[in-house]
Amino acid sequence: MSTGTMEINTTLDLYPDTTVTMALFSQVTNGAEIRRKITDGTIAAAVINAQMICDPFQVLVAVNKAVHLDKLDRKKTKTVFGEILFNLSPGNNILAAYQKFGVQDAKSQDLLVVLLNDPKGQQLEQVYSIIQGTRIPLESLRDIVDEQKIIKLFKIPDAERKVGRLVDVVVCRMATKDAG
Amino acid sequence: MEEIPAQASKGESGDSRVASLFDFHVSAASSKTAEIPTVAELIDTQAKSACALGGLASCSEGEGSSTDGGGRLRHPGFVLFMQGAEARLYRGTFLGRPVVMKERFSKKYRHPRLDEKLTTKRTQGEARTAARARKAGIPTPCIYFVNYQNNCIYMEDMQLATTSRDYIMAVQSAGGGDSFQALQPIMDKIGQILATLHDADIIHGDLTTSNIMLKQDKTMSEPEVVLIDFGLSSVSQLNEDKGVDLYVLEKAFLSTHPNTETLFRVILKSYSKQSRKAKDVIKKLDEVRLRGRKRTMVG
Repeated sequence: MSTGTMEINTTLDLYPDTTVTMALFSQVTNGAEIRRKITDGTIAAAVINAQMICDPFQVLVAVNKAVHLDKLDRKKTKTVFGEILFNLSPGNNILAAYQKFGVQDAKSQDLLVVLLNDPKGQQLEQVYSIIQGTRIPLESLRDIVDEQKIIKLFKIPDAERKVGRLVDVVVCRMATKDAG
Repeated sequence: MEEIPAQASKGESGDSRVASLFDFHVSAASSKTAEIPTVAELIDTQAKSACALGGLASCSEGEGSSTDGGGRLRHPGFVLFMQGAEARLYRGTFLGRPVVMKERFSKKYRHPRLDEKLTTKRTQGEARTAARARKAGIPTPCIYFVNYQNNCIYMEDMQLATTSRDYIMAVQSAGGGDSFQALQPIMDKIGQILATLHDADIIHGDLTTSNIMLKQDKTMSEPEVVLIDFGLSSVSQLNEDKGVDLYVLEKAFLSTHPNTETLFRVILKSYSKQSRKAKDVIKKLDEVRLRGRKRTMVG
């Protein structure tokens, strides 16, 4: 019996009719298949490289912005899930965002799955049946995250690093990305 | 909700926090003994008063400002707590975290298209400069989300913080002769932060003691200086602009806190020590003082 939060189910404060579900999978071996199924639409989810996530809050902020832009029909990408990945990235290159934050070319990887509007868990069930990996509690993100990779990608100077926790530094960058 | 009193905030951005709650604890602090509160103690006192007022805050709508024409709440779940010349401040929860939401509202006297552009530009500028300040190592509230449709900025609510305005007043009313000693280290820190800010070529634009906050939680042995309200900020390498920035603070400082010339000198001294370009900036400050008003005299 595992302890810890196996799944986060929350609504967005600004969009209360949108529910967000997050689940973490470790040692996933069929990355290529998952990527195919995302492209052809079988999987309607944001499948994120867990190494780049230091806290679920980081993901929620990306989701919030994606849903916001989706409602205004002002997304930069095609789907709200692609937009989530794009929001996680520091740059404006969509492909680079997918490459860094999406499913990796690796034999084994840890992936964070984000679903929208799945209160009964049906979509999660479907994803569960496709992903070949072990479901682990979200607290394990702490051990999976590669902070140095994040610091390098976001080019976070030491001075900024001291202002707050890494998650706050990253979230602030994400939120102010399009301010210029 | 009322306008911020003139001596507390010179700029039109009007983002001072908790200033109106101060009146409740001046008497509390000085009626007991002449004990000078630490920053942490003042924060604690203010938090307790805020809880007591909490019930009142959620009842008062204030000139219909937080509802739209149909009477529905514009921002459900958010409570208005401050209204300035340019923006309204709300408190609420966002994705599990306590936040302050700053809503820039439109000015009806402006031409609508111009108004839209101006308001968005100000919001964007504030977010951009706050991010820039953070990169330079200036503690400032973390921004979580910017809604460019309605010009709302959702940012970290620093719950365990007070304004330096409130703290200076509390110390002065309690401490009498010892207040200089108690405030000197804080002034020192403020000078350092301003030096770091100007060395990064950031001009705050609205430096007042209400925009310089002090944060201290249980894990911190000393309070931390946090800058807020980058609504009037800009980027400039000109010593003139930095000098004017300091001049604005000096004016706001001395008018809000009487007999604090020596305290302000501590800020300047610490600024000079920390900043490489301080000498020229202070020179400009002296020039500006002689002029009497903030003018750039360029071109």
